[in-house]
Amino acid sequence: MPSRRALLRAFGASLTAMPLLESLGRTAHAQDASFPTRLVIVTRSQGSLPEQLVTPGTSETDFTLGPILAALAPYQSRLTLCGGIDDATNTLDGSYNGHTRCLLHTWTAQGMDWAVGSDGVASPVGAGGPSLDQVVASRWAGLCAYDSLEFGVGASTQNTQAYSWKGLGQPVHVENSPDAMYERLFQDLVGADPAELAARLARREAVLGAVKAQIGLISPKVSAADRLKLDTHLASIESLEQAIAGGSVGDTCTDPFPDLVDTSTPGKSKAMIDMLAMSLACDLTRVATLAFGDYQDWPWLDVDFPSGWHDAVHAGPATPELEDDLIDSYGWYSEQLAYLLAALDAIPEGDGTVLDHTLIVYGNVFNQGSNHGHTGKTYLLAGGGAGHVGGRNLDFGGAAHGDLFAALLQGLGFSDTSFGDTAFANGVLTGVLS
Amino acid sequence: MMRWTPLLFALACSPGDKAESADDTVPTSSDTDTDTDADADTDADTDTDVDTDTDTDTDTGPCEPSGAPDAPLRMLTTDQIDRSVFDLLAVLGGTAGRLPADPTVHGFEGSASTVSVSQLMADGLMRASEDSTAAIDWAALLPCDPASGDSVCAESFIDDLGRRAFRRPMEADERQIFVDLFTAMEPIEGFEGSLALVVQAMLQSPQFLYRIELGDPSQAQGDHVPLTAHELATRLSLLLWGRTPDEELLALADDGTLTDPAVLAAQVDRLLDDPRAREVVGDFVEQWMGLTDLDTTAKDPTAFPTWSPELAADLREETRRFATDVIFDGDGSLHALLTADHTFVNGALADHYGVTPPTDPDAWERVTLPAAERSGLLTQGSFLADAAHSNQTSIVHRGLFVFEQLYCGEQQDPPGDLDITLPPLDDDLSTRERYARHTQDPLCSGCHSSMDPIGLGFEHYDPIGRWRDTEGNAIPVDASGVLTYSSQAGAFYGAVELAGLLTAVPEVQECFVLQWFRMGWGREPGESDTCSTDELQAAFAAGDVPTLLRTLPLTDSFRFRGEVVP
Repeated sequence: MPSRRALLRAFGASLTAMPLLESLGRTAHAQDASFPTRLVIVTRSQGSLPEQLVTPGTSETDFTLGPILAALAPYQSRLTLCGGIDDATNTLDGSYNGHTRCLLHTWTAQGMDWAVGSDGVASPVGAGGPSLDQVVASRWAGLCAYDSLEFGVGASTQNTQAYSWKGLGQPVHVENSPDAMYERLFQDLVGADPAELAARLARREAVLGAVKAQIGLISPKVSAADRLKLDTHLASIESLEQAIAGGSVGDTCTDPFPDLVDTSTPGKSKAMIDMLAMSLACDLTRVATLAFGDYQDWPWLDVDFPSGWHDAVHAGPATPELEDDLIDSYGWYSEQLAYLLAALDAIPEGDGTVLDHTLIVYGNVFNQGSNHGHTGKTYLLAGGGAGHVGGRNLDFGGAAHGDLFAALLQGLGFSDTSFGDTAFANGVLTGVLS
Repeated sequence: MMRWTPLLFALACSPGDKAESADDTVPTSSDTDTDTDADADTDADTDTDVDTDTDTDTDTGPCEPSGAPDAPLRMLTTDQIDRSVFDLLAVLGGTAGRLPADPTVHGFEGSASTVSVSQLMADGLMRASEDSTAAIDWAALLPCDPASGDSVCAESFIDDLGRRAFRRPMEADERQIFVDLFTAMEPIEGFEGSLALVVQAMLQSPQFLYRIELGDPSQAQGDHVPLTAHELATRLSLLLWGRTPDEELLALADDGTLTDPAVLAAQVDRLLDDPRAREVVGDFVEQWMGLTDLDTTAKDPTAFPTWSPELAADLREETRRFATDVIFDGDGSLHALLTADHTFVNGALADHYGVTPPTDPDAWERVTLPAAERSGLLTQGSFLADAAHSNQTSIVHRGLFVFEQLYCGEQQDPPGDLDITLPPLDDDLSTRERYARHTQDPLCSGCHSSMDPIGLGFEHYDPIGRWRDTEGNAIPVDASGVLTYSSQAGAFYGAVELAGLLTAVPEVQECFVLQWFRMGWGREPGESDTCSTDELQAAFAAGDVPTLLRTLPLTDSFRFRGEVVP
C-alpha cells in the first residue's frame, strides 16, 4: 500500500471535484495482495414490526423480504437474517423491560456496570464489558490510523446510551456531526500543502507529548480508582496520536466529497455513510459503527405520528395508517443500510469490491417495538467478509446473542468459544456465516 | 440523626402486586437522567407513608462523622471549561460542537461517575484548544512586546498562565514540560506560535481539565484531610461561579489564608454577591428542571405552530431569569420559587402566556401572571413543555418530575414483558379517561399511583405549557389531583394548589438540599457526609436558598476529603 504521503499527493492531484466513481476508477490499481477484512456494526433502537421483516418460504434460501426490509431486496443474495436471537442479558438488571439503558446490552452481551458509592448505593454507570466492535478493534489495534470509527446519525452521546464500549467505564462516543467527521478523517489529508500538513502533525505531536507528560506526573499521585480514569484519558490520547500520524492507506482511496450542506437527517446519514465507506477503502480503519438515533419526527417521510415516533412505536400497528407509517419509518433505516451496501459495493477492490471484504452486522435493541421486547430478535448479516454467504433466512429459536457474536468472531479468524456473559452461553452457533 | 433518605424507600415504587421491600438489595434500574438512588442501609419504614421525621435530632454535641468524605475525580463540564478559557485567555471557549453533550446524573452535569475521556473527546479537546489559541490577542495577553519576545518573557507568561490554568502554582517538573515545549518549538513556530502550543498543552492537561484534589495530609484531623487552599479555591469558584478562580481567590490561596473559616466565609459572600453566581443558579435550575434539552424538543407543528427552538430557548431563559430573580433579588425562598405570581417575558412569551407584551418585543419585562393559572416554576412553560409529548400532555412525566426531582423519590422501570403500549389518542376521551388503566390495573398502579394522580393536576396546561380550559373535543379539563405520598398527601385541584401544598412539605425542602449536593459534589451523599448534610438541612430550615448556598462551602464535606491512597 502507498504511504500516507503518496496519498496526500494523490489528493492534491485530484482536488477538482470529479465524481467519486470516476476518481476511484482512475486511482484503483490491480491488486495481488489479499484485502483486509472489515467489520461494520449498524445499530439502532425502537425495534420493528417483526411480522413485517420476512416471509419464510420452503427452505432457508427461499424467503421474501417483508416491507420493512424491502429496500434491501437488491442485496438479498448478500445478506442473512439471523432470527430467533434472545438478548437474555436484559434480564440481569432487575425489573426491566428494556426501557432505559437497554442498548448497553445489545452489543456487549453483558449486564450493566453498577457503581457502589460510599453510601453503599449501587447505580448503573454503563455497560458491563466491551462491545463486539471494540473486541475486534482491540485485536486489530495499530493496523490502521483508527482502531475503530463511530459514525452517528442523531445518536445519543450520553454514556448510558452508548452502544460501543471499550470496557468497564469506557464508552466510545459517536460523532454525529458530518462536518467534524470530515475534518477529522479527510480534511486533514486534502487540499493543504504537504509541508504544512507535516508541520501541523509535528505541532500536534509536540503538544500531545507534553499533555501525556503532565498526565504522567499527576497519575501516580491520585487514588487507584482515579488513576483508571487518567489511564483511559492517556490511552485515548495515544489513539489520537496514532490517528493523526496516520498509516498506510488503501489504493482506492480518495476524497469522498460528502455533502455537508444538507443537514437534514437523511442528508447527514448519506454523508456519514459516504465517509464510512471511504474510511474502509482508505484503510483508515477496519472496524466501524454506524449508530442511528430515535427520531421524534420524520419530516422527510410522508408519515403522521400524532404523538411522536416513540409513542407510535409503543402503539404498534394499532391502525392500518399507523402500521403503514411505522413500516415507512422502520424501512427508512433499511434504506440507509442498503445505501451503505451500495456504497461499499461501488468501490472496487481487487477483482471484487469493498463489500466483498466487509462483514456488516445490523442489530436492533429490541425485537417488537411496541413492548420493547428483547427476545426473538433478528440480526442481519451482509457482505462477503469473514466468509459470509448470504441469501439465507435462519431461525435460531431463542439462542443467546453472545453465542451469535462468538460465531462471528470465529468467522473473523478468532478462536472465541463464547462472548459476553458466559452464564448465557450455550455453545457457539453454527451455520451462521455459511 | 437526620437522614438523607428516610423517604426514598417509602417512595420507591413496586410494580404490580409485588411486595414493597425496604431491604431489597437488588439494584434498581432507572434512568440516569431521572433516577434516584436509594440508600441500601436505610432503616426507613416500609409502609407507604412518607417518613416526615426530618427534625427529630436535637443535637447536643458536635456531630461525630462516620469516615471522611469521598472525593472521586471529576472533570470540568463543558460550560466550566468554556468559561474558564474565557477568563484565562479572553477568547470564547471552543468546546461547542467539539465535545459530546455533558453526561448527566439525576439531571446534573459534572458527575464523578461519568468521567471517561474517549478518543473522540481527546480529539475534540485538541481541536478546541487549537481554536482557542488561534483567537488569542497576544499583545494583550503577554507581559512583553510579542515582536521582541524572549525566553524571559515566555517563562514569565508560562508561570502566570500556568498558575491560573492549573489553579495553583505549577510544580517545577510541570513547569519544565511547558518550558521544554516552548524551547523545542520556538525555532520552528516562532515566539507566539510556540507559546500557542504551550497554551494548547495547558488546556489539555489533566491539571486544567480535572479537579485534582490531593489534600494536605500534613494538616489531617484524624481521617479528615483538608483540601489545600488552592483546591478549596477551585471548589469554591466552580461551585458558585462555574468557572476558574479569579485573582483574589488565587491570592488568598497562595498565602494560605483561604482555609481560615472566616476568610472562606467572606469569600463565599463575595462570590454570591457577584453576577457570575447567577449563572450557576441558572445552571442549577435548568438541570434540576430537566431543561437542558428543551431547545431540541419537538412539537406537532400542526397543533402547535408557535412552537420553535427560539420559543423553547425563550422559555428556558424565562426560567433562568425567574429563578435568579427570586433567589438574588427576591425573598430567596424555595417557597417563592414554587409560588411566586410573577415571571419575566419578552414579546414572544407575552403572547405565549396571554399577557401584555413589552413595548420592545426583544426586551424582558417582569409581569404578574393570572393567580388562578400560574404559580412559580411548576407552572412555567419550560417545564410544562418539556414534560409533555409532541401533541399531548404527559401526566406521567409531569408527575414523575414531582416525584423524582422535588421529592427525590425513586421510580423503577416498568417490569419486563409488561405491555406498556400507550392508550391511543381519542378526542372524545379526556386524558384522565385514557390513562384510567394506570390507576385501576394493579399491575400499573404500583408505580403509576406515584405519578399519574399528581400529573393529572397539570391538565390545564397544554403540551407547550399554555393554559387551557378544554381538551380534545371541547371536553372540560378536570385537573383534580391526588398527592399520594408524603406528609401532605391528599387531594388538590390544579398545579397552583399543588405548588402551595409542596412548599409546606419537609421532604421537598430536604430534597432540594440533596439536589444541590448532587450538583456541587458530583456524587451522592454518603454516611461520611451526614454531619455536613445535617448542617445543610439546618441551614435550609427556613427554606432560604441564599443561606443554603452560603452554607454549602462551609461544610466539612466541602473542605475535607479522605486520605488519598495512590
